[in-house]
Amino acid sequence: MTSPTPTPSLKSTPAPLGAAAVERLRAALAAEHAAIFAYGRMGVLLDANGKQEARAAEVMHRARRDTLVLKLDEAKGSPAPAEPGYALPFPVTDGASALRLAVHVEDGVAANWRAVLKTVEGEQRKAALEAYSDAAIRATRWRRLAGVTPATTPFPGRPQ
Amino acid sequence: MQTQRRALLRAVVGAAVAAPVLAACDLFQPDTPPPPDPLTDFYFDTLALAALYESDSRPLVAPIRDAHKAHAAALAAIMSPRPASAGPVPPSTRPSGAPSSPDTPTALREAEQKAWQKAVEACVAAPAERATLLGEIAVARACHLEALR
Repeated sequence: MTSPTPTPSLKSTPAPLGAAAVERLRAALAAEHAAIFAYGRMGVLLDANGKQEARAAEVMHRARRDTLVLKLDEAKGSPAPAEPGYALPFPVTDGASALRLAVHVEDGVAANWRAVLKTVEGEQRKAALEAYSDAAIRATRWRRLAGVTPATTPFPGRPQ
Repeated sequence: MQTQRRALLRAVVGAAVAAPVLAACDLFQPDTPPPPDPLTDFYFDTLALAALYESDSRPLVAPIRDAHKAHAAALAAIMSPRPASAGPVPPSTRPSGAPSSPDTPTALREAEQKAWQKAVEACVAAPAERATLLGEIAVARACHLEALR
C-alpha cells in the first residue's frame, strides 16, 4: 500500500478463509452490489464533477465485486448475485439528495469492509484495509462536495 | 495450658493464612516491571500528531486534531500496561519521522502521510483483536489526507 487512494487487489493467498471471513466477505459483496445499483441511479442527478466522481466510484465497486466473487468462489463461499433492485434509504430526486446517497453508500461499504479486518490476516487483511480505506475516502470526498462539515469522522465505518 | 494452646493455634492459623498472601504479593509485585505494550510508540506518536495541529487555527483541522486525540484514548484503553502518561504533549514533541517545521499545511500533510503508513503497517501486523481499531485509525488518517487536500 503506497497511496491513500489504493486500487482493488484482493490477491489469492494460500491461507484458507475461515467461516467468519467468508460471512463478512459475503456481506461486503452485498454492499458492493448495492453501491453499483445506487451509483447507476444517482449519476444523472449530479453535476459534471459529481458525474465524473460517480463514474470512477462505480468502476471501482465493479472491480471489487468481481474480485470478491472470485475469492468467495475459490473459498466455496457461494457468492450471491445482485438483487434485481434495491430500496433507496430516502427519496433521491435532485443533486443534493444524490450526494447524500453517495455518502450513505460509501459509509455502508466502509462499514462492511471494516468488519472483515479481524477475520483475516496478512495480505488478506491488507486488501480489506485498502477496500475499507477507499470507501471511507470517497465518503469524505462526497461530504466535501456536499458541503457537509466535518467531512471526516474519527472512526470511519464504526456503527453509531 | 488452654491459653497456651489457643496462642499456638492462632500462630499456626496465622501462618497458614499469611503464606498465600505473601505468595500473592510475590505474584502481583514482580521484581521487574511488565514489558511495555507493543503499541506504546504508536500511542505516543498519535498524541504527538495531535499536538502538531494545536497551532493551526483553520476550522477544518479541529476535527482532525480531535480525531487523533480520540484515537490516543482508544489505544490507551486497550493497552496493557496502560501508557504511563496521557497528559498533554509538549509542543516540541514530534511524531517519529515528522517534519521539523510542521506549522504549514504541507508539513501537516507530510506528517499525516507518514502516520497513515505506520498505521497501515500496525494494522496488518496486529493480532485479530486489535486489527479493527488500528484499521479505523489508518483509514481515518487516509481520510484526513483527503480533507487536507
